[in-house]
Amino acid sequence: MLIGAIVGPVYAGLIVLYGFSPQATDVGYAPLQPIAYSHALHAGDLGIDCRYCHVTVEDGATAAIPPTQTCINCHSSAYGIRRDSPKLQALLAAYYGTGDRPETAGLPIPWVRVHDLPDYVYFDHSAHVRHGVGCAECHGRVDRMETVYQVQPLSMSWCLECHRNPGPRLRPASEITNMTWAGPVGGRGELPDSAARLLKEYNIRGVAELQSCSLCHR
Amino acid sequence: MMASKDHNYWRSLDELANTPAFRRWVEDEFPDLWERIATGGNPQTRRQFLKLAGATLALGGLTACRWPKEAIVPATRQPGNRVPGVPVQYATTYELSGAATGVLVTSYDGRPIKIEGNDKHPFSLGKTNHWMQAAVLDLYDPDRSQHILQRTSGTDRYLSRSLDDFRTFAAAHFERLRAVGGAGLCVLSEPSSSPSRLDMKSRFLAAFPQAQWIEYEPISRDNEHNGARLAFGRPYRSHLHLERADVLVALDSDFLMLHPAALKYARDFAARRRPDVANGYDCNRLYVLESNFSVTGSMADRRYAVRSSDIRTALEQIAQAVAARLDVATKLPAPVGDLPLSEAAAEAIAADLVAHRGRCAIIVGPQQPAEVHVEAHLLNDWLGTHGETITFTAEPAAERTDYAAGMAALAEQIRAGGVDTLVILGGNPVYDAPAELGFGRASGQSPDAACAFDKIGTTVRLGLYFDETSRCCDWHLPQAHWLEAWGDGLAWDGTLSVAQPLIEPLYGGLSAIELLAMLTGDKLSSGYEIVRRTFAERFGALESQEERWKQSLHDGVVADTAWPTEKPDVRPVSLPPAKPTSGFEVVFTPDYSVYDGRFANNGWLQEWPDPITKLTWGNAAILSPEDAARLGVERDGDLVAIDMGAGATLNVPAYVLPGHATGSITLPLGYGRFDTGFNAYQLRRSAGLDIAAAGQCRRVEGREELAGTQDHHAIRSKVGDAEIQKRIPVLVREAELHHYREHPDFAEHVVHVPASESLWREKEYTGHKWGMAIDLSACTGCGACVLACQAENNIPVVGPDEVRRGREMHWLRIDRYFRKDTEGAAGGNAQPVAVVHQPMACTHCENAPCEQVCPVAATVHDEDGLNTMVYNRCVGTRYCSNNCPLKVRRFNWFYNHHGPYHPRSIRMGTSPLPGALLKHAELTDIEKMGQNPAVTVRSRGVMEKCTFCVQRITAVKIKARKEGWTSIPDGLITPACAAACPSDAIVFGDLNDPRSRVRQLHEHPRAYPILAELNLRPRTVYLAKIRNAGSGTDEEHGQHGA
Repeated sequence: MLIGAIVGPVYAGLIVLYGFSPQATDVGYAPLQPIAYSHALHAGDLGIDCRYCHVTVEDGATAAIPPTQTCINCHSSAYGIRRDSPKLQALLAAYYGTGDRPETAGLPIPWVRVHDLPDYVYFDHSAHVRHGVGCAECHGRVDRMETVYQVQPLSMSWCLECHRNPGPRLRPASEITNMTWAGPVGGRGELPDSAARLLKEYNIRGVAELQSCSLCHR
Repeated sequence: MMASKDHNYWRSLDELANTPAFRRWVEDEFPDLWERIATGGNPQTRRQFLKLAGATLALGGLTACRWPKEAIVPATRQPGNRVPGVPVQYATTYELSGAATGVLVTSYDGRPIKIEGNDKHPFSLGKTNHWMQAAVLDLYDPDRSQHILQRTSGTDRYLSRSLDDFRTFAAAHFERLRAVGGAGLCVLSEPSSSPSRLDMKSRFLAAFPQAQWIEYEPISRDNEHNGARLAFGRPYRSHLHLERADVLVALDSDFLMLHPAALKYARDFAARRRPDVANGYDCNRLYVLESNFSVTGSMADRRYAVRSSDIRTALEQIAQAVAARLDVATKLPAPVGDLPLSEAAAEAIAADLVAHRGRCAIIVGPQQPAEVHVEAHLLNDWLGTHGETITFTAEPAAERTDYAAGMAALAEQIRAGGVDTLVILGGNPVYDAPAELGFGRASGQSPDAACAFDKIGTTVRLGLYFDETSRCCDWHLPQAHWLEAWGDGLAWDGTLSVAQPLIEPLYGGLSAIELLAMLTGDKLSSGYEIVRRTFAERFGALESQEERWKQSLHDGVVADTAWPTEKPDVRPVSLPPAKPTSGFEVVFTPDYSVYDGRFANNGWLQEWPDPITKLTWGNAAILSPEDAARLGVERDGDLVAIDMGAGATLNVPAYVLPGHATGSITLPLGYGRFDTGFNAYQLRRSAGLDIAAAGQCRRVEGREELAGTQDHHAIRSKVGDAEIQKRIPVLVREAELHHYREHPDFAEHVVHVPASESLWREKEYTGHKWGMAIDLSACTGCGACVLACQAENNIPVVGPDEVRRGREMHWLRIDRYFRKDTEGAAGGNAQPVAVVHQPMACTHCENAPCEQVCPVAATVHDEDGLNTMVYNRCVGTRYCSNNCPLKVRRFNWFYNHHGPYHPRSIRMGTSPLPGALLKHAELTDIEKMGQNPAVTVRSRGVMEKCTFCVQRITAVKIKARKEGWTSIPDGLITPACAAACPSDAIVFGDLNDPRSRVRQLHEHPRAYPILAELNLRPRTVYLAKIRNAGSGTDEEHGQHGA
C-alpha cells in the first residue's frame, strides 16, 4: 500500500516525463511533403551526393532546401527524366504553371521542416560539416528513406553527447556525405589514435569551449 | 578645478533635492511592483492577465506534443552567390532635411534588418546616427498607409482605389491642366537634394509652365542662407574642418547632433579630444553659448547659458573684444542692453580666439537670425578662419525663397482662389506649417473645422502615413519608404550617392519621382529608369557609364563629385542694432527623438531617452531652475500655460533643466501626435519660427506625469548625500587638461581600494578575451549606440506607462550626470553646470556578482570570458538583477514583442476605410520581418542584458575556423554600439591580442575600471574625461593644443 502510494506517482511522473521527451515526441517524425520526393531513390539508388542539392551546407548555417530549378535540371518538361510521372506533376506545375493557370508558374514549393530546433538554438551546418561531422551522424541513413524522418532526438543532451566527446564521431573529409561509412578499419571510434588524429586535423576546440552556452545560444 | 573629486554631481533635480519621488526610485529594485500587486493594479490589467493565463494553459495542452509545423520555402530560381541565412550588405543613401548620407543596409534573405554607416561615404565615415538606426522600424511599420484612398466628395469618407483608378483620374485631370499650361496647379514638396527629383521637377515645370513649385520643411537653414547672402552677396554653404580647429565658439549651434554633417563633425571633434602623451596632450577647446542645453553644450569646456535672443549681443561683445585686440575697425553695432556675458568672459574668449587665429572657428546655429550669421562671418574673416577651419561651396538652391515665406504665399493664393490643384509630396504641412496660415485642423482646432485645402479643387497627397495632411486631401497615395525606392542624393558637400531599394514596396508605395513621372506623362515610369537617366545626363551615355554606375552603386558614393571649394569675400554690411526684447523668449527646436514630428510613429525613437532631458514618449516646456522657482513649478511635469498672444495658449508640462538660460523656454517640436506630448507648432508663427519673443508663462493647476528615465537605475544605499558625492566622481572620473598633463595617471588615483581576492579560483583566459573601452572624453552622449543596440538585439519597446515604472528594456543606457561647474561661474552664469555622459551596459565582469546568485546557472561565463545569459534556462528569479551593481540587467515583465502590452500601437486612429480598425495588439507578420534572426527573441519572465553582440563574435569565429585563419584581425568584430558610435568612443576587441586597439586603451593611463572596490574585474573600462577649460584668464590659453 505504502509502496504503491510512493511508487505510483513517481511512475506516473516518469511516464509523463518520458511522454514529453524528444525521444517520444520527435524521433520518427515524418511529415507528409508536398511532393513525394524519395531520398532512397536519389541519394540511395542513384547515389547523388547530398551536396548536389543542399549546396549551401558547407557555406552557411542552413543546408538549404534546393530551389525548384535544381529539380528541373533533370526533370524539365521538355526533355526531362520521367517527365510524365504522376508524382512529378506537382513539381512541374509549380515551375511551369498549369495549362489553364499559367500565372502560377514559379510559385515556390512549401516543404515541411522535419528537423526543427528551438528558435533559441543556433546550429550551423557549415561549422559541423567542415569539421568532420558527417551528414548521417544527425540525419541517419537518409539514403534509405522514402520519406525523410527524424532519427535523432535533437535534444540538448543529445547534442552534448558529441560536444563532450567529439573525437569518435569525426570522419575524414572525404567521407562526410558518405551514408554508408562505417568508420576506420577496425570499427569506428575504436581506434583512439584515429579520433585523436582527426581532432587535431580539424583543430577541434576544447571540450570546455564546445560546452559554452554561447556556442549555440545567442 | 582639480580632479573630479571636488565636484558635486547629480542626475536630476529630484536627486539633488533628495525628494521622496527620487527615494522611491532608488529604494525599489523594480519600482511600483508592490503597488500593482497590492491594489491589483488596473482591473482591466488583471482580467487581461487571467485571460492570458487561461489561454496559455489551453494552448499549452494542445501544442505540447510538437511545436507548430514550419514550412521551408526555397526560391524557385535561386539567384547566384546567395546563401540562405547569410546576411548581405548593400550600400544605399539616407536623406534627412536635404542632405544625404551613405549607409550600408544588412539584408537577411531579402529583408533589410539593420543599418550601418558606409565608411566610403565622407559624411558617414562608417557611422550612423539614431535616426538611421530607427529607420528599419519605420519600414516595417504596419501603420504606414497601405491603400490608395479617394475621398468621396463632400464627406470625410475615403474609398480604397487601385493604382489604375488613380492613373485614369490623373491622365484626365492633368491632361486638362496641361491644356492651360498648368495654370492653377501647384506642387508642395519637401526639400530634397536628389538630382533625379530636381530633374523631374524641371520636366514637370516644362510640361506645366505656369505651375508653381513650393518647398517647405518646418526645420530650415534659411537663416544661414540669408546670412551668407548678406555677407557674401550670394548664399554659400559653410563647411567646418574641426580637425584643424583649436578653439571653437558655438553660438546656439548643435553642430555635433543636429547639423546635416554632424556625423563627420562629431568624428573630427572627438579626434581632438583624446589627449595623451603620444599626441602631446593635444585637445581643442569648445566654448558654447546657448539657451537650451544641447548635446554640443554638454561637450563644452566652458558653457554659458545665454538666451537665444541675447546671442547676438554676446557675439557683439566678443567681436568688440576681438576687434580691439586685432586692431581692426569694426562697423558692427556696439552691444546694447544687458550684457549676457561678463566682461571677463568675453575678454577670455576673444583672447583665446586671437591667440589661435586661423585655427579657430565661430559656429552659429541655424535658428539664429541672419544678422548673427553675418556678424559671425565677419568675425571669422578677421580671425583668418576662412579657407582654414571654414571653407565654402556655392549653395545649390541659391534662389529659392524661405520655406515659411513660400508657405505664406501659398496660403494667400489659396485664399484668393488661385489654386485649382495641389500636389503634396511628402512632408506634413497641415501639421507643421506656421500656425497663423490656417492650414490645419491640426492647429488645435476640432476635426470639423475648415482646412485651407477645402478651397482647392483637387488635392493629391503622397505620404508615408495617412496623416493630418492626407486627411485634408482628396487623394492619398502611399509613399515608398527610402529602403523601398530608387533614388539619389547629395551629401552636405555635394558628393553624389545613389539609393537602391532593399525590398519591393511592402504596401505598393510610389516614390516622389515616380509620381512626378506619372503626372508629367514621362515615358519612363520606374524609379530605376529615372535615376539611371539622371545619372546618364551627368556622366554620359548609358553604355559608357555602365562601369561607373555599377561601382557607384556598390560603393554607395560616386567618386569625385563634391562641389569645388570657393573663397568668397565678406562684403561690408551695416546691420541695424539688436532690439532688446522683453518677456519670455520661446525657442522652438527640432526634437532629438522625433525631429520635426516625422518619426512620431516610431516606438524606438519615442522610447529613446533624450540625451539631455532623458524624457521618453513626449516633450515638455524646458525651463531653467530659476524660472521654475519664480513661476512656482515645483516638480517636473507641473503644468504651465504658455501664452504667445492673439489667443495662442497652450497648457504644457514643464521640465526643469539645470543649465538652461533664464528668461527662455524651449519647446521641442514634433509631438502632439497620437497622445504623446503636445504640439508646439500650435504656437509657432512665421514671425518667430525659431525664436519667438514676448511670450507669457505662468503656472497653472495640474500636472502630467512625464516618462523620464533619468533617475532609473541609480544606485543609492542609505549612506547619505555626502557619501554619494564621494562616490559619483569615482564612477565618472574627469580632470582638467593641465591637471592631467601633470598627473597622467590621475584616473587610477581618484580612489584607492585595497586589493581583494576572489572567493573563487580565478580563471585564466588563454584564447580570446573580449573587452571594451569607452572613452568618456570622446562620448557626446548622442545615443546612437542605444538605438543601434535596440535594432541589433531585438529589444522590445515597453511604452510610456512601463517606462514610468522603470521597466525600459534598453541593454545600453547612457547615464547623464550634471555637475556644478565651478569654472563656469565666471561669465554671468547664475548656476553653471557641466555634463558627463557615461554609456553603461553589462561590463562582463570576470568576477560577476550576477552569476554567483543565479539558482539555475542561467548566467555563466563562456570560454572567452563573456558573461552569457541563457534565456532558455532562466526562470526569472531576478536575483541577478538584484545583485548587479551596475543595474544593467533587464527583465521581460510582459510579452513585450506581442500580446496586449505591445506598445508600438500609438494608433493612427481608426482607418478611413469603413469597418477596418487599425489596432495591433500583436506583432504583425510585417513587423516580425524586421527582427534580427541571429538573436533570440526573448519571452516573458526572462532576464536579458548586453551580450557584447555575441552573435557577431560567433559569426566571425565560425568564419575564421572554417577558413583556417590563425587569428582574428583586430576590428573585424564590432558590436552594434561601437559600429554606430559617431565619435568612435566605443572600442571593442580581444584583450589577449597585444596590438589590439582595445588592449592599448585598457593600458591607457586614463583607463579605469568601474567599482574597483567590488573586485568585479570588468571587461569594459572607461577612459576618464578630460576638460580643457583652462584656469580662467590665464596665459596658458596661448599654448593649449599646441
